[in-house]
Amino acid sequence: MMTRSLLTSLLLASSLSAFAAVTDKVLVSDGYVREVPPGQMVSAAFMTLHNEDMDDHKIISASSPAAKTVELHTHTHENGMMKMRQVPNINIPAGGDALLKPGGLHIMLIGLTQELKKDVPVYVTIKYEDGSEKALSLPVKGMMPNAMTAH
Amino acid sequence: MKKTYFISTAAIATLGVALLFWQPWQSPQSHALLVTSQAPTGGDFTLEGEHGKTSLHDYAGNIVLLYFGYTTCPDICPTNLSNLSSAMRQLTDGERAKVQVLMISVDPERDTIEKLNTYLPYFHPSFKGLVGTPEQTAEIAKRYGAVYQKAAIGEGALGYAVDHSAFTYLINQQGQLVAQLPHATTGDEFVSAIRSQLTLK
Ligand SMILES: [Cu+2]
Repeated sequence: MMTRSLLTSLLLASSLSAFAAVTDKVLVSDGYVREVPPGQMVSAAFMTLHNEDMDDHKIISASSPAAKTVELHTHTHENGMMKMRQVPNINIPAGGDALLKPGGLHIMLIGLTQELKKDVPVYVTIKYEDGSEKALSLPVKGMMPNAMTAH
Repeated sequence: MKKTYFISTAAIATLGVALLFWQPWQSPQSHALLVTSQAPTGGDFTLEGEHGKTSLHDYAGNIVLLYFGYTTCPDICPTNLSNLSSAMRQLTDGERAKVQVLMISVDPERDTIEKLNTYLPYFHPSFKGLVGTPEQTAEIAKRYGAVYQKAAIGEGALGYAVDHSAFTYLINQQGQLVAQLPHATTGDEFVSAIRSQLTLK
């Protein structure tokens, strides 16, 4: 029994090529979901991801009970237009950060299934390239923080 | 042997990535490419507003901040509208009485005047929406140098999004277009732009 579980964990460790899952190497901070105007059925989750590892890591998908569909998106500025597009993954460079912020990369919540209220957290789970998942409880932030931080 | 294998894998991966980003079927239609090189002329227009037909000249004597956006816009419009809201809240009562924020919908197929008037007061109670036919909207947008196009995104869960330029057009008290302020102009910057026009009088 002991031997078997030891063997299993050894196999697991070698198959991951390292001893810890990506969830242990990437720190998530400053996460929030943006409050929406009445009737708006989409929102986005923003956050900072810091990669403490020597290898790049990637978010490959995300999910949330608060939305029918969750996609990874970015914005590009092309031909004078702001374009939002889906991306296959979000890279978090080795030793660096990935910034998910308005006007850039974001986790898009499409078809909201709950009203977003300031005192009710939104659960978002992000999945990394090794299959490990990180469950986040994100606060809902009003849209006017820009005004507050302008000074 | 092994090395060759790795090189070709890398080459295939590179090609794959290149293909991912090279999406000719998503390239903008020619009409949307008209980011005009000559200065936009702006000018008067009439569209459907809260109380029926509404024209720019109805706001003569006010400074108008005109924005082209749409209500299902997930990020870009809310950013600009919340910055405009911040500007409104920084103005004095006297100044605010001479400023009007208008948003023309670039998604007239989905946006109704009711939708606009549910959406906009979230940012500021004074903000007004305007909607027209696709043709009217295109004609006004062209005069102001605004560009937009429908875009399919991902699996299509969003229906469609609208790629659009995100300028805010500053129109003086005589109805003349005087400046275009870029996306993410801050509340403070809007305030300075508004005051620069108010003091000219
Ligand atoms: Cu998005």
